[in-house]
Order: sequence, then C-alpha cells, then structure tokens
Amino acid sequence: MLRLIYAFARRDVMARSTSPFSWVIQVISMLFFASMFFFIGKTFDQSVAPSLRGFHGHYFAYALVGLVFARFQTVALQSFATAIRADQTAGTLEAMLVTRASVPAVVFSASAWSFAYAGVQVVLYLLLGALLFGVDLRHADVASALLSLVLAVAATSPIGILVAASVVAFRQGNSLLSVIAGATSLLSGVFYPVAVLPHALQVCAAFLPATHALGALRQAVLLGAGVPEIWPHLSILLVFAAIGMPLALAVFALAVSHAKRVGSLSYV
Amino acid sequence: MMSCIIAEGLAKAYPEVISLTAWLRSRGKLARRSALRDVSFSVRDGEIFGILGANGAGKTTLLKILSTLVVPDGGRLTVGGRDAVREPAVVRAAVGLCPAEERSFYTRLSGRENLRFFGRLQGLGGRELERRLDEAARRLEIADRLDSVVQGYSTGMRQRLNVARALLAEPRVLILDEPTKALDPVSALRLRRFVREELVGRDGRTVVVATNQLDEAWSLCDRLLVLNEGRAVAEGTPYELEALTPESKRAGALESFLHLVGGA
Repeated sequence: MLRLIYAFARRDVMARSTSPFSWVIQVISMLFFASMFFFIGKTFDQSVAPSLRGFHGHYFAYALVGLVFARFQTVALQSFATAIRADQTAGTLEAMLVTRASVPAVVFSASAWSFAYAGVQVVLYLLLGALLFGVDLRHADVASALLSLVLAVAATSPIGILVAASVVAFRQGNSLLSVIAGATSLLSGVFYPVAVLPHALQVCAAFLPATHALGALRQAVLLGAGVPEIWPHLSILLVFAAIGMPLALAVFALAVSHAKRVGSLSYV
Repeated sequence: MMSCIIAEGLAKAYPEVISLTAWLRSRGKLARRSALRDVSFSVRDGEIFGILGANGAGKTTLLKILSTLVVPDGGRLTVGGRDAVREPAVVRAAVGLCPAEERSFYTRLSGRENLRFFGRLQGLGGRELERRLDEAARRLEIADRLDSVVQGYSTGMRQRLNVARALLAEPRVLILDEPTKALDPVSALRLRRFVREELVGRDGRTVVVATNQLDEAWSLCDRLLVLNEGRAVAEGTPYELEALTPESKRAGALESFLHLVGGA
C-alpha cells in the first residue's frame, strides 16, 4: 500500500512540477481567501456576536479554523470520486485497473496523497493566519487538534466513498457532492456559529459529523482544549466513523462488482 | 502444445443504459444488448492468436473479460488453469493488456515517469523496476526519448510505450487491442516484427491480438478466431479459414472473411 501511495504522490508532484506557477497561484489564492475573511472579521469585530465570545470574540480566528476544516472536508468528500473520474476522463483508468493493484487500493492510495496535500495547505493557512493576520496559536493543543482532524476525516470519508461508489457503478455522483458540501457548509458552522441558525436547523446540524469536528477543532486550536474536554465531540465522530466506514466500504465493493458486470468500470 | 487460455461458452450482454435513474426506474432490470454469445476457443502456449471481427463484433468485450475488467454473464475462462472470475488477481498477474486507447498515459509526464508509475502499480520498485524499465525501453527502441514528456510522442512512440508498459510485469500472456490501428505502414510492420521475433520468438510469450485488419490477421497470427455479432463463426489457421471458403470464391483473406461472416 505504501508503494502505491508513493506512486500516486510522485505522479501528482511530477505533474504539478511541469507547471511550477500552479504552486504560486495556489498560495496567492489562499492568501486572498484568508484576507477576505480577515476583513469580514474586521467589519464585525466591533460588535462581537454573543456566540463568538467563547472564542475571544475574534471572527477571523473562528473562520480560519472553519477554512482549515473545509479544506479537509472537501478532500474527504471529493477525493475518492475524483481519483476515479479524473483517470476515467484521462483514459488512464483501464491501464491502472489491469495492474496487480486492486480497485479499492488504487482509489484509497490516490486519495491518501490528496489528504497529505490538504495537510500542507492547512499548515500554510495557519501560518498565514498567525504571521500575517495575528491569530494567536500559541495555546493550541496540537495533539488534540490532530486527533480531531483524523476523526473528522474518518467520520466524513464514508460519504465520499459512497459518492465514489456511485461514480464507479453509474458514472454519476459528482452533482450529489455539491449538494452535500453545500448542506454541510450551511448547517455545520464552518463560517458562523451553529447557534445563529433557527432551532430546527440546529437539530439537523447535531446529526452532521462536520458540526462535531468543527466544535472539537475550534476548542483545540483556539482555546487549547485537551482530549478530555473535547471528548463529547470526539466520541460522536468515532460513532459516525465506526458505523459509516464499514458500510461505505461494503457498498463500494458492491459497486465495483456491479461495474464489472455492466462494463462501466473502465470507460467514460 | 498446452492450452494457455481456454474459453467455454462465454456470454456477455450489456444494459442499454447504465445511469442510476434508469437503473432505479427499471428496478435493476434494464434492457440488454448482447455482446458475446456462447464463444468458445483455446489459445496454445507461445502462439499468436488473433481475434478478428468488424467493429462491434465483440472483440473488445472478449479482451476485457480476459483482462478481468468485465465479468462474463455465462461460460468460463481460464488462463494458465486459473479461473478469471474466481481468481481475477492471479489472472491479472499473468496477463498484460495494451489498450487500444491512445490516451492511456499521463501526457505531462515523461515516458520514464509513466513507466515508473505503472510499474509501481504492478508491485515493482527500486533497482528491479529500473532494470525492467530500461530493458523494455531498449527493446522497444524508445530509450533515447524516454525522458521527454509523452505529449510530444508520435502515435507510433506511444504504441511502443504501451507495449513497454505491459512488458514491465513480464506477463505470460500479452493482449494487444488493435495495436496498429493508427500506425503508418512502416511502424505497423516494425511492431508486428517485434511481436513475432521478440515477444514470441525470444521470450516465448503467448500473444492475443484483436484486430479488424485482414492483412494483419493473416500475416501475424498463427491461428484466428473470427467473431461476427458476438458469435464465434470460425477458428483455425489462416490457411484453414481459407479452406472453409468455396473454391470458386477463394481469392484471398477478404473473400474468406466475407464468406465466414456471411457478407458475400
């Protein structure tokens, strides 16, 4: 498996290195994105929303953690389906699938690299936030923040794997992703606290893994909370992962078997 | 000579559409189009076996079953005695596929990086991967362009890279899907010579070639399976196939083929 992950990582790094400006453009766009939230925060920091008081009243710091999480969530939701779809359209999928690597191994190795790359982007976001915009990360509990991220990925990935199963079996599913990502952004408190939502939507938010992931991550990064303090959130993420992951993997296996029967595995 | 591949009564039908909504609407029972019907044949060790047929005859479906990308609805296929449905991983390890798709490489990467990537997917690494990669490139005469990006490769170069990729895993059986489809006559001749002299003559591999070109089938293959609308209509050497044609119509490969598929 490590050899496969290395193969995909090297492929993607080599492909990106052929257009070195893509790295620079990405950092610039991250800077623009972070700046936008910084100025939105500046606009409203004078009249601190009560729901932000728990986080020292700084909207930008609050939004920065949301940005970091959103990056990982996007990868967890999209990378599995993208890994298949990109090679289907490039014409390289068939050549991959006739190698000794199994379909799940190919999909998960390609995604592992996407997660690693998202990790680099997250570090960059946090560095930009701390060095350029004065976010205080000195008290952050790194261990519990990392644990929150890992569990967040494990709890969110099953949805991404189910979408990938739909792409494998029916060559459809990408449109479903935008609905899921939109609903998650709306309800889980990526850029504003869940407390500002109407009561009915707050109830829905409680059933989303992203809500608990963000709760744990913000407390760990901004308030320095340790594992015992964020355990209520972490335990819910664990339940989501424990139920969702085996279910999603079983559906994915069924999808591969269906695709081999109907002949949709290797062509667009 | 031992049979390396044995197919018995292979059948395959595809659903007309495979969208999720159509599948749900039909409750999993979509209208189906038959691609292969009761196809049986055997391929001997170390021979070049051709699958000849017009477009839509079922050649690609047969190759996809051979490379375990598609599961047959009925019948049985074994490669080296191993069942392609029950032991797909073992069969994949014995088979190397050169797809007809010309776009099967990462065009922004060099030929070498492409071979490294697919070699790693075959479980190779380190010095062994580099050794096999250099040897395949040397034999296919692409070593001098291997560090250039694939984007700049000619169709002939890409086809040779395609064969080099399949050779990395040193498969017992090499499957070529319309290998000279887009090649000029000289490149096509060189590739056929490589298949005959190197892959079969020197390595002793078994080669399965799908083609709709009669001259290729007649000049390259030891034996042929003729497919027509998913059915196997004849199997034998080119000489045997010509002998099936009535003497009055015997004037070459085209006449024999048309007679076999009922076109004349």
